Amino acid sequence: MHRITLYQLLFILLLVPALCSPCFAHKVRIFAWRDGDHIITESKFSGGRPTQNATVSVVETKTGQTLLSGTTDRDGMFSFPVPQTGSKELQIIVSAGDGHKNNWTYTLEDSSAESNNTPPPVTSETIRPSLQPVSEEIQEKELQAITASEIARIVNTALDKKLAPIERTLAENSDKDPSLQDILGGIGYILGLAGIAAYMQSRKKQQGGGS
Amino acid sequence: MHISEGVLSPPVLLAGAAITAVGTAIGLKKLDYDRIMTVSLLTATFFVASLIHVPIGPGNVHLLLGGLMGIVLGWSCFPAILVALLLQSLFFNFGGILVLGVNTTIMALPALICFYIFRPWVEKNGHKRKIAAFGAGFCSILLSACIAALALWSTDQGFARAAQLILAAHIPLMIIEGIITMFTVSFLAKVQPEFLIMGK
Repeated sequence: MHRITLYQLLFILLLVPALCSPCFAHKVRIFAWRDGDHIITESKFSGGRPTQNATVSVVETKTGQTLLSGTTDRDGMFSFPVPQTGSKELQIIVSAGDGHKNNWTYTLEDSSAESNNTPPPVTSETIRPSLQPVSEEIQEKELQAITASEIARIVNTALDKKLAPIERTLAENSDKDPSLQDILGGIGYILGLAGIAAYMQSRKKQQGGGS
Repeated sequence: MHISEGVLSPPVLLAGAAITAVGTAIGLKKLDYDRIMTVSLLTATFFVASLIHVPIGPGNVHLLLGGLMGIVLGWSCFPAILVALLLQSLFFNFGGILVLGVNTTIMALPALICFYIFRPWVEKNGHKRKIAAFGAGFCSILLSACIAALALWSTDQGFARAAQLILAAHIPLMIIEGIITMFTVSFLAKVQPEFLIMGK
């Protein structure tokens, strides 16, 4: 009797973590965010362990051309300067070497839009006061214009810095780990399939008995 | 042990799918009415077991329980593992639909081999059963790792590196699976012997 209770305990111990900690999984994942003029990628197994020495390659989505590649460090990180290409979408692919692979689509859109939008308002402001012949005033306006674009640049870099951790968290959370619903749903499907199999078999038996 | 989508070449995928199709067909044919609940119970166990993560060694591995599936189910481990892997790829994003055949082969073929090697001893009493159960748990992971490395032969890093990576990552798991299979089988033999005897 003592032995049986021991085994029962072990069996329950085996099943409990399965239901309580659905965060452990086995696949590799990668996510990327921008920090200033660099794109930082982080790869990990979804159990939370960093993927070390994995190959990361950056591919242009439109042309399918590999722009650069490298390996992750001890913390699963790999960073590269923002590539100067025409296309806005990049595929960042991680391959762990043991058959695990995943990718992350990175869109460059926001940064190019920023740099295009800042100059026009400055020029329109500088044109307006040109009717007045006072040279000092023009200089003052020019100074103002310069400081405005300068300020925009400074604010942008500061925002980049402040937002980088938030972007990282957002990127990290975009790929969900299996939840309790997923597990129970899967078990439900298995029971349903068992029911279908039992139904088919029982029909076969009935037909076999009838004929 | 779940190989991701887009890693393998089409011939490997087709070979895996063919083996899985044959195994599943035989497994379904051998599956009789009384064993349906046993098969689905173990399918559910296999489905959940891969969420238990073993944080030992260089890699990141989870339980498979292939040895237990093989010993108890025999040929029926093919449909069981196929269904569990399909649901895992749908719900957990493990593996993928296209690599389903290869992944099923990686996990079910060793289970079947373990059935033929260790099943006769499991039916005996005492220490022989325990040793056989440990062996089944141990060997199923070892063989799974070998087949996974074989499947990765055609990829860019080649067989040697893949085999090295996978085997190194799975050595702790072999021992853990062996122990878990041993305890589970001797527990089942004591409490629910008819659960084990059915696997013919």
